Amino acid sequence: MFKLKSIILLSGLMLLCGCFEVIEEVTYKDSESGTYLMTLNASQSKTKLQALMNMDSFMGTKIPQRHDIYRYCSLASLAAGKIKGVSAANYTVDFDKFIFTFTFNFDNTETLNQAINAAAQATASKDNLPYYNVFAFHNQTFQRHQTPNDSIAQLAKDKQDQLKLISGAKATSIYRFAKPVSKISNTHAKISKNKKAVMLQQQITDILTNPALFTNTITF
Amino acid sequence: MKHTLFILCFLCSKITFSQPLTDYIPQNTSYLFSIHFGQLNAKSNQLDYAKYLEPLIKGRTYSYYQSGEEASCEIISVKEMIKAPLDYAIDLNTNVYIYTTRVKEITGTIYLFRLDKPENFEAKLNTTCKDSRQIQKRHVGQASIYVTDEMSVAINGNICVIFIKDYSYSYNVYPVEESPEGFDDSIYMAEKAADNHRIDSLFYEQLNTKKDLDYEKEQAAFLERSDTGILFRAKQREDARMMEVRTKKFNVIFDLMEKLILPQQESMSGNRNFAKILEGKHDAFVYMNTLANLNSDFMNPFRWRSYRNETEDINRTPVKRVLTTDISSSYTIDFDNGKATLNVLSLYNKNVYPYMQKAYDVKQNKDLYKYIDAENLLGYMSLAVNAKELAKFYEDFYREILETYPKGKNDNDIMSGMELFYAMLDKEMLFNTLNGQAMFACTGFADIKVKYSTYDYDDEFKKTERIEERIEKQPKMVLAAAIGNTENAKKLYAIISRFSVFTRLKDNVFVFYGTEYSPVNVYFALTDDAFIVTNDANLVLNNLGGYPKNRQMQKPERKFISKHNIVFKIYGQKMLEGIQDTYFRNGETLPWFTQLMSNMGNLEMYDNKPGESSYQATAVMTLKDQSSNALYQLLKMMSSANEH
Repeated sequence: MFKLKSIILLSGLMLLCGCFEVIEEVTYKDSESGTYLMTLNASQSKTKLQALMNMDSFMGTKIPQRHDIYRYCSLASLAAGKIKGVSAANYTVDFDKFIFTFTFNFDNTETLNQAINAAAQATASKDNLPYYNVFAFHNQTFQRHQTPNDSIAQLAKDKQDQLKLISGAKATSIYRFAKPVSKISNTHAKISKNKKAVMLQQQITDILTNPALFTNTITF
Repeated sequence: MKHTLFILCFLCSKITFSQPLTDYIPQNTSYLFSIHFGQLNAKSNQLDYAKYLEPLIKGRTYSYYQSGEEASCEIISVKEMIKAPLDYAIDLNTNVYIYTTRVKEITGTIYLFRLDKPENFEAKLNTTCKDSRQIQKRHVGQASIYVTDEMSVAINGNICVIFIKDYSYSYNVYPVEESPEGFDDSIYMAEKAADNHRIDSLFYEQLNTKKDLDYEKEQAAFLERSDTGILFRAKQREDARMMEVRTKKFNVIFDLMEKLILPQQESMSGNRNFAKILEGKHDAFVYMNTLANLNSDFMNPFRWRSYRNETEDINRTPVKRVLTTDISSSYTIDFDNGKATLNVLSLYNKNVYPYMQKAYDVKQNKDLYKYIDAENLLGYMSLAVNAKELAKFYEDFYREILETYPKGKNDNDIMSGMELFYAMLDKEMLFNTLNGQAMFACTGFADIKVKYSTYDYDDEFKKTERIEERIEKQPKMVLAAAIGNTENAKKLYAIISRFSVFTRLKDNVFVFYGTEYSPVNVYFALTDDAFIVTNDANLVLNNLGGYPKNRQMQKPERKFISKHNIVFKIYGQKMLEGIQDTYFRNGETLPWFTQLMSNMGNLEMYDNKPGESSYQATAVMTLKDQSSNALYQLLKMMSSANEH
């Protein structure tokens, strides 16, 4: 999932809106290249979001305005697009449905990691975010790594009260491959009928308190 | 002049201990803020309220002022002083006054207060600034005055005045007359020319004596023999000139401070309106001298002429003021056990009263009550004025204001043009279609169906978007405005209903349908007695004749409304419960919200009928705990919110 921390921290809006869904999709065309797509669907909370976005801040939490969201998306897209091996970096913003997407094509998994880190850095409020490999694809294994437990666990601890408000929010990961999957490490994940895709759905509050829940090792 | 001032100062220093502080505030002060720290300290029960005052406090404006060795010196930190007045030996039993002043090009904010122990306060002043380019001190009688570029402090007995000057380019930028080569005053130029001549002579003498001379080397050696004292003396002269300029500027501030630290000839103590506010012994108040504000150049819409230096044809003939003299307004706040009260008082002269009397001699239209469903009433606002009479007052009032401003001959044409335009307007249509009687109410929450997008995944985990419906609560709002001229109302209604964004539902009801994703439908209805705007379909489709009597407002509420021209009320508990149901899922909530719910009572605002010289409105916030002071309770709530 595209740096969950960035989404939660950068968008105070999410903490206030209650119900939303983040979907991370990685689709490999062959054993190296593919497409990354992240979708943020806050459609269920759009009434609240529309009301909140009329305010500059709510109880000390800054509410990003439309132009801020456009700016974040544009920065992420530009940063990812500059990485060698990335093409067709793009984003969509739909304020009627409150659905936002961010996508790009990559030529290998290392490029995918670089693009995700570049996009996260471009939208982060602090400089020099630590670089980490979100994904690894070596030989017969694809791995979705755990978000470094630097501040995620701390965030969950500090924001216990606010976390209750997003109890309905969920995160979904879908990884599609060119070859069939033989084994998955995360017992909550499911393998598709054609064996070429793996899906995992978790509550965001659970991931925040235990980031390991979103990790997976997929063997072919 | 100086002697007279000295005697005055001496006498004044003897009487400062008893003289009211208001004697020191000029009567033409435009804005004034007063705070009583003693009262607030007692009511806050040691909780920190000063941090909420910070936005009101004018501190230093570093970036504007000079940097380096001549940087402006901060004599005292006003922010720190306001945070801890006791540490600065401020007398907590009297008000601290903060007001603005303008003398020619100098504007700024003044803090005026009484000191408990003047020597302790003086000891707090910054003693590290000693350079006379940064700070200058002067004694006038018993008064000590410290002046820097941006801040000045004057102490006279137990009276203290702090003046924070606004940055002004014309005042604060020091003229620099430096050429690229150095100083170019006439003495420097003459000395330099003589010195050059001397070096030239020596050089040529040398040239004549040595034959195998390294020309460039010798020239450089001779140049080093130039008199360095010339530059040193030029620097001294420049410093002295800058000092003179600075002292001249400081003297302007010294003169101002000398005036401010003495009782004023025409002071606020002689202001009837201000005296009336002081009687209330309020915790804090803001006073606005409307007349002084109106007289300000900034308010004059015709002032562009003076910017263009077209001042020769400005008409300054005094116009007799009828409505615009002796007018002011004030906002007071007081914290008592279980309630906080905000009071707005407008004071005016006897000529205004007949207008006010006519405009406010109206009661709420009883026919409007039937459109308000009071079964789950969360709050309402009621307005009952004679719109036509009120418009007449504002017409005469603003005409007089515009007439009194200095203006050019041609500007009179603008006035005539405005009057011509206003004369052509249909006043009956403007001010009597809806006659000034209206009620706005939030009558509860309604369940509405909202569509949203979610995803289905097939066997291969390919996602497809699916539209779902969910029930959300939406506040029900209604605005009912009484009709003055039925014919005009029908005419306007018919015109508006023809716009394509509206859909006609009945002869007298049309609707603006919200979008698929913003499902707020706004209904517009016209009945024999009211024009209604609401999002409550039940009202316009089923109850346009009015809700049954048992669902309408009860007699005590109606009596309260009809006693006042303006009433505003929020049923705090019901409103918060509604917000909790709507915005927090499964009863989950935030600690600060829970605290708010357990503390908040109702919020109520109402006015009193205009008197011969004043019109007053009062807002009261009631808290559930009636045994402890409202300030303490509110601070506790706010600190709880900050913690989360």
